[in-house]
Amino acid sequence: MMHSKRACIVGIGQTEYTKWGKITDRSEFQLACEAIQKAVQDAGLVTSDIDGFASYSNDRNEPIELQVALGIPRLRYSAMLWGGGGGGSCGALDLAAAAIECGQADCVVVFRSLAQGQFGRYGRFDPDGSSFCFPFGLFSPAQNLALPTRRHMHEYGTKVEHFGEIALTCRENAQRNPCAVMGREALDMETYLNSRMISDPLRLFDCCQENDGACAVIVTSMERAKDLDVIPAQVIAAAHGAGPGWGLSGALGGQNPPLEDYASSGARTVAKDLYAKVGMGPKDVDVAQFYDNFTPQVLMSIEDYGFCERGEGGPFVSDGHIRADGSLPINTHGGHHSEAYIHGMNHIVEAVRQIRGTSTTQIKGAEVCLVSGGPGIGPTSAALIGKC
Amino acid sequence: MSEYLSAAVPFPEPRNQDERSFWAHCAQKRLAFRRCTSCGHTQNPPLPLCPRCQSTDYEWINAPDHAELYTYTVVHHVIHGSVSESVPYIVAVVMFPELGGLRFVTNLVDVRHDEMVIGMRVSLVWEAFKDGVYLPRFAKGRVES
Repeated sequence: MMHSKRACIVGIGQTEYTKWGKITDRSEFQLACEAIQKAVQDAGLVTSDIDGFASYSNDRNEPIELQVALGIPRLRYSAMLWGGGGGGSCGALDLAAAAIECGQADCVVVFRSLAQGQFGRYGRFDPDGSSFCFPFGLFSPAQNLALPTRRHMHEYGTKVEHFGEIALTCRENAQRNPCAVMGREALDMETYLNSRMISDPLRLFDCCQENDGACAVIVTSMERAKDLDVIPAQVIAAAHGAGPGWGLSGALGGQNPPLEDYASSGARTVAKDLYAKVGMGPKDVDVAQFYDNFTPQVLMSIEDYGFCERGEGGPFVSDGHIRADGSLPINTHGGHHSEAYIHGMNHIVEAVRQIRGTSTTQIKGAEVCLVSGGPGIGPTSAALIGKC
Repeated sequence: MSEYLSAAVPFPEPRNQDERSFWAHCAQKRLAFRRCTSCGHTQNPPLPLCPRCQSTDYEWINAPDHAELYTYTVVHHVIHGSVSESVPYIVAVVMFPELGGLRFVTNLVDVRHDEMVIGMRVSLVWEAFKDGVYLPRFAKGRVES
């Protein structure tokens, strides 16, 4: 019998998603409130039921302010996963699940809100950089992560067409998703290959979008979920962390993680921890939502989460495994690449849809969905979300 | 020697005294890394203690004047106005086998994009930057006899 304190997701909510800078009529804070209200309604709860918040990547919208706006009488849990950009998406879910299972809170919101036109894009120049990168013209995440990408191509013979297959897969799935910002624009390999070079070998269509929007999920206990008229999605396991050398010296910094881990997503230890928590493995996963900041990092994540050996990611994706009818369908909402870049939070929302059976690219019989947090950076994170 | 990138490229304030020491050495055209005197591990970027043995005892050792090209990117998209005349330019990661595989972010100054081969030998050159700082960059290595 399921432990009654086991954490599950009972509500999902999102605002509209737009290209970055397009939401100007309301604040980023309001977007956060809107996504949370929708998630609460979806769960059949009211905002005053919320007593905890968890987020990541230094979200600007602080729980103590959200509490006031949402009329929450008692805040009992307010957690932020340090650092790591979007690496912490599933880590925030990990924090929420821990709070539920330890009884520190009864109803925790995990959220991300982004109005990049109001605060700035991730991909633009950020003056808070390193003297070990900037003087050499190494400024942006795309440039940084092009470096392990080139090394992966060198070590394993990975080709740009393999990265293109990931872009095409995201776009194809997005075309069925009416909320996807890029859903109306088809993408073929020729268009992908002809897209302008950003930081060789990364082309425009290897890079995720930048967007405005917010989304949120409501985490509570199985015991509480029994009283709600929803299909709960169990947080089977969640983990966050980093292998050796993925902080200051990682691929987004000094480029000095261990040589054997350099051409990777950096998720090797987190993947091991995630699976070990519940005695599961890649064979138990029916569908996956990989954090797609850049397509090569998805390929490396597929390897690091054990769906193929290191270096076999290229042939794996070109064999059709990641398409909707493949053995490991990925990014069924379209991912950051083609739905929206909400720092991985929309990947968690999509995982819940798969478990509820309501995705626009629904995978038949999906019982377990893997979600990964931002790769190429530490900490990263991951979760297994499944049927109860 | 002409500069590979403009002197208008931003140079962030080093974050701590360890990083300031690195750049102070560069001002003397000395590329040096911190080596732990307890276990011999050499690190980059510099940390206040050895990540392998936790010792705080260290020395600055000169890097070899040759390295291997470990990986690279050719930057096309302009992120900062200072490089608008420089694109496409090469950002390289070079590796020192003699220093336990230590890697260093730099540029290759005289290499055509179609000449780059991972594993090629490159040699250290210095270019004046600004405010008395010299940047350690790399050029095609001399063919050894």
